[in-house]
Amino acid sequence: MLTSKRCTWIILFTSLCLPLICNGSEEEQSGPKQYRYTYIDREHSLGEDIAHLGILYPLGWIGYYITQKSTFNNVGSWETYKDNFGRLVFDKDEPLWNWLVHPMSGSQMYLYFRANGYSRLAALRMTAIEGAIFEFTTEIWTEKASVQDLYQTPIFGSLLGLVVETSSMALLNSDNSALKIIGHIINPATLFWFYEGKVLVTPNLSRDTASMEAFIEF
Amino acid sequence: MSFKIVLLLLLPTISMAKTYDQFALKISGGASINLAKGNASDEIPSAGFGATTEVGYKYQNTEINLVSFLNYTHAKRLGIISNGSQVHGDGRFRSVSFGPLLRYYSAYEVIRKWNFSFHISPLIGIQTMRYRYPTVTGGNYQGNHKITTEGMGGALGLGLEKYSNDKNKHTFIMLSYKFIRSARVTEIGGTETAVQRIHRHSYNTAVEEHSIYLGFGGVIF
Repeated sequence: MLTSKRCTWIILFTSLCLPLICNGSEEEQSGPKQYRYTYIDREHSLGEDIAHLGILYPLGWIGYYITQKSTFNNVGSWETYKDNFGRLVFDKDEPLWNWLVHPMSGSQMYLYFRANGYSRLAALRMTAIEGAIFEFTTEIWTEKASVQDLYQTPIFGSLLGLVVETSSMALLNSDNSALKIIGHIINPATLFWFYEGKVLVTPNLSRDTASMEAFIEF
Repeated sequence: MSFKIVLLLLLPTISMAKTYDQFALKISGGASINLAKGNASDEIPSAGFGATTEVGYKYQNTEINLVSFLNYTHAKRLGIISNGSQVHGDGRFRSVSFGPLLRYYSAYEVIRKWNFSFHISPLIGIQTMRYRYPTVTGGNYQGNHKITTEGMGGALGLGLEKYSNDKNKHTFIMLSYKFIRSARVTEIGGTETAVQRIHRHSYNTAVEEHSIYLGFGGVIF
């Protein structure tokens, strides 16, 4: 039987509990933090362009020495360097070099510039400049600058780089750790501090709103 | 009637101005028919595959690019004089050419949004012939060496371009005739990682390459 006392308790109980039942938890529910990999294009100053070219230049010498040590030591010399300086020829290299090694090195240069915020065309341009600097000032230690390398390193390198870029983004944004590792292996520029495309994404869910917070580091 | 058709092809239209004006990288792939006439004998035309890459700038209805043409065929009965030898036989023939390319986009629509274009390009190129069981007469040529020839020439042709305001949706069909006349012949030995020049000589004409390329492609970025 409902007495006034019982009604009072019912009313009190309902007035206290109803908001909790209707609103659920007032606190926001956040999902686990996760990174999303992408490329964010931006403008670069001339100083930045020169700095990036300057960073890659000694790496070109190191890579050339490591990959062709015997040729570097046996064929290369300052006399050869002076003789080859400023000369441009068609090289007679096997397809291994012109169709695989140079495009691969071009692709990694392309991906380095992409990681630093260059657009695809800007990365192609910078790869062409860096490739030309390598051809005319580094590779002449052992052979004359090559017409095929000048063209194919940036062009085929950018094409291969685009394939690696697209593939690595799909792998890095998957939920599979093994695929993420493969993504980093094929696109090592994503591992370094200068990679500008790592976006921290935090899902933000509440009763009234659903949103994603993105934190982008520059 | 022919004058009116030429006038229509040359008139720019408003739709031209709406399409993208900027740098682009384009590629195409397709088939090619090659005829390489050596200085030792003629070759039977052979079919193979070809590809092009172009990077450059488009302004309204004119485009200027840096282009490369690639042809890869199985040559038959190609004869070349190298290192004092007459070398004759079949083998793999590869041709790579580079140069500037000028393209003009016509206002004439063949079908909806597909327009004619014309291109012309001076080229420098290198051709590589790797013989398979060649017949060698005289001289010092070694059968396992490859022969390269270098020369100049050009290409001209026409295309069908499908327009879009979005650069990345631009596609095209390309028909191109390429001619390279090579004078310098080099015999190359060595290994895959360290090539060695065996002999080099220049002739008036070592190899004349004629090829017709039909390809389909688009803008990459």
